[in-house]
Amino acid sequence: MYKVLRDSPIIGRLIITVSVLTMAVGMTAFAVSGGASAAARSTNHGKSGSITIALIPGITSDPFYITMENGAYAEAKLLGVNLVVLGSSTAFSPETQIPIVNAEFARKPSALVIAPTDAVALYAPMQRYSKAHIPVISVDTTLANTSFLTSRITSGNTNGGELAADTLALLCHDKGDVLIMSTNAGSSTVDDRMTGFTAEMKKYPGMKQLATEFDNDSPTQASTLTQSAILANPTLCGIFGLNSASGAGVGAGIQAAGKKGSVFAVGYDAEPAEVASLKGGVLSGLIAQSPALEGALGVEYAYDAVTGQTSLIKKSVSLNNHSINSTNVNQKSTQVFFYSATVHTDGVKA
Amino acid sequence: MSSPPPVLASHLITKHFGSVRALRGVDVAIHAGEVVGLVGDNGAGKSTLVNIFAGALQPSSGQIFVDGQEVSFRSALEARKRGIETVYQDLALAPDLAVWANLFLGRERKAKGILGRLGWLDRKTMRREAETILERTRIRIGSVLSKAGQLSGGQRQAIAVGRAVAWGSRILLMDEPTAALGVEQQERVAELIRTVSSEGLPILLISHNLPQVHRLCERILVLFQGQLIADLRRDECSVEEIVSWITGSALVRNGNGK
Amino acid sequence: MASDAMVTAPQDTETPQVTADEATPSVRFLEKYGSLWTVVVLAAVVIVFGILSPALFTQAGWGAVSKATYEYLPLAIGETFVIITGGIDLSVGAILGFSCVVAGYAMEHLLGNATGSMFVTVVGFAVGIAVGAACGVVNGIAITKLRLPPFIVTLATLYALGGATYIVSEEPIYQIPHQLVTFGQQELLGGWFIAPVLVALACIVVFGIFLSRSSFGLRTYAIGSNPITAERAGINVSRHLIWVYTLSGALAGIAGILVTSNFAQASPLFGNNDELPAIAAVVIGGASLFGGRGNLLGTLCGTFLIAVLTVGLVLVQVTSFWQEVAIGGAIVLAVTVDQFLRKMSQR
Repeated sequence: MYKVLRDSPIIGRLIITVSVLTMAVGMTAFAVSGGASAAARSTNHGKSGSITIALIPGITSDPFYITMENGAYAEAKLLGVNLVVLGSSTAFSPETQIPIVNAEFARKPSALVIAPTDAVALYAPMQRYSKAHIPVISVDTTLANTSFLTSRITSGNTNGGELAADTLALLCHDKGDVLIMSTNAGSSTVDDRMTGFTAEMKKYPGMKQLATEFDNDSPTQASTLTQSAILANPTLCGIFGLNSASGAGVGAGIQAAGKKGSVFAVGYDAEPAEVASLKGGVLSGLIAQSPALEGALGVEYAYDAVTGQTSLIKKSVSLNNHSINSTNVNQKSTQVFFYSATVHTDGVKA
Repeated sequence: MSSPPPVLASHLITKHFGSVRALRGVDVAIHAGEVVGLVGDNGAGKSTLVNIFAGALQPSSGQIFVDGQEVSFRSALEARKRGIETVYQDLALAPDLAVWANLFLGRERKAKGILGRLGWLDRKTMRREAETILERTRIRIGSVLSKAGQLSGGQRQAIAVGRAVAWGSRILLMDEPTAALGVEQQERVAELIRTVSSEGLPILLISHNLPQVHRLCERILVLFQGQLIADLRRDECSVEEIVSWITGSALVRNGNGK
Repeated sequence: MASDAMVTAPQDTETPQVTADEATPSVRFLEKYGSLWTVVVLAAVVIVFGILSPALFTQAGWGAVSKATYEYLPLAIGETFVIITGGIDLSVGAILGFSCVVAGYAMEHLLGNATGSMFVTVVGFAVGIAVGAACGVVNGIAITKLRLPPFIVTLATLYALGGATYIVSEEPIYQIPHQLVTFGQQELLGGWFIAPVLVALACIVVFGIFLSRSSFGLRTYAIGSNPITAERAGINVSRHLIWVYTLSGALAGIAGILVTSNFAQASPLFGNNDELPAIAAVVIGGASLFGGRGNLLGTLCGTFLIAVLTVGLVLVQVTSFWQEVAIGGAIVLAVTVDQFLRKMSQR
């Protein structure tokens, strides 16, 4: 065999190489698509030719979005529709999300439910769906220009920021400095939480808000920045980590600086790690959103839009947040709002 | 009757590499039409001397003269501009480039007009001229489109020699040009050297192949430990004598052999 | 970097075996365009995914694929030149982000309260390319004058620019001329192309011709194949390398402004980790990391291969984690086959 390859002219070598490669690629593709169907996170509850809703979260590895998916799957099972979940597992950014949005457009789903990673960049890719008469619903984040959206669903972010400000003021007895630990800006949710917090903070004249820090969605960064902020500001009393990564980082940073109990952290979202931090006293409060409900409502409205029941759809929905602290963290009624880290495609909640 | 100045000459060339003294005051002179052999044991300084003439190395002290004029080469390019072409021991070929590209590297033929000024290559001309250049070496290369790395050792040598012969206008320096060749190919290169020499171009030839040196070179310079210890006429010495100069035993016997 | 193959000529004393002049014209053609196999592999992948999901063959499918290439094509072009010289440029993603943010900053301040201006748009392009080129010059000088390995220098640039980008702007800059956004988003030619894709394709055609037909291109290959030979041939290797890294930086600047135009913002997030698919595309396209080999047709195929994998895996509903596995697998496969073919052609 080796001799044949060696002596045959280059055409022969080329053909052999190409055949091997094609087989390899073909087998890989089949294996990957078949074997990974468990990981492909799609369900087929309905009959063929029925409704398929595409859900594109901001990032698929985040418990917030996983909880949203679970809520969506539960609703999809109830309604008897297919749900396809696609997204980047590595980054929350328009650069990774837009190719997925563009690719899914080629499959022409019945409806699109999406958490856009940027309020401006996703406008054109999402609008393409609308122009093709595919209803588009935004969940969690939304666009700057929402004119073509069938609905936009979010957990009240401004309200969440305000809740966080009140919580910190309570913990600090209305005295001391606070600051916001933010992730990369540009999404509507982040902006609203910052605005809500800042506005509410003004109601506490005894407290000063320092400059906001940006941790690029990295808990490690957040921890480092927290420790630096504590060193630089002896009168620092509280930090608002306005998303799960930031909150986790802030908690770690406070512990590392040995200031547990004297500097208070309020995090956002109730991921397993953050709930553990709260129970352990590293975080003093959590603002939990309603991602499961967002996902379920997104699927429900998508179904309504596709089946022509547009009167049932509210154009703008702002769901309530829930404040979790050391007093209510062990109550069953509160624990319902904890986020899940595992996907349940059959809709059974953890 | 004054004879024209030597094409290439050196006066008291020394070269140190740190504490190692590779050359200790070497004077040579090579005249038009001569084929001069440069021999010596390993480490005697042959390649160092040739590299200095080629502009690849700078001497620590001493002078170089081309056609009687003192020159100093800061780079191989400057030496080439003076018409000194070199066949290096490592051949200096780019294995991924085609044969014609290796022949013309650094002196590429450009297209006419504005395209040429922007650097557009005239590949057709270069391919044509490459074939002509290689015909002179009479070693079969086949397609000038082949990549140099795909050819045999003998063919690569042919390219290096052909390149030097094509461009050399004043003198050729050859560092072991037949080292990796078979008998038949060595003969071809020897013929080429004779042809070129008959056209008047002088050649300085480093070689370990003493019989070949004795056949081709009218004069033989012997380096020993960085010094020129013998300048022999071919007709006046035998291969055995050359060997004794190389090993230094003749030095012990005779003092010096000029 | 410099291959040792030429230092000692092998002891071959026989006449050569199969030499090129015994080959038929078609075989010689194939040897000249050796990276043709990349084209075939790309075709194979397209066909496989097309069978699995015919949605790939729609205008929307082509749209998704082409839009996933325009950002990486300019980067991969620059990287091709760099890798052919035996170097590497790890900073292209960071240069993209830095240059686009600086251009965004300039445009925002020049616009003031206006929403659009052709002049500001042109300035944006110019600033982006100039800043990218400047970063490339710094890379080139550090590599040639300080004699540091390209890996280390461009890694340092990557980190330095990553931080510098956030100093210029922590948040995305949305205040850019609407003409630029139109340029970046408007569907052209019956909806098949957007301008950034056309620009990227034009770049590859222009630079492809440049690399294969100009003396600059030839000397780029020479330096990668044997830098000592190039030096002896009279080529100013240092100066040439500085030009090559400058080109890489300028192309990253072009990529930056294309992304800005399509995403309607200049964001410090852009370009993050982009050097990986760029280098992957070049390697898949048949270039050797040791230098001396590679061409832009291969790079084009490599870039499209990655884009087709990205889009195709979404179409068959596979999560993006598998994309990264698939692309990594493609690189290993490509390098293995390349080495295999190399050994075949050298007895």
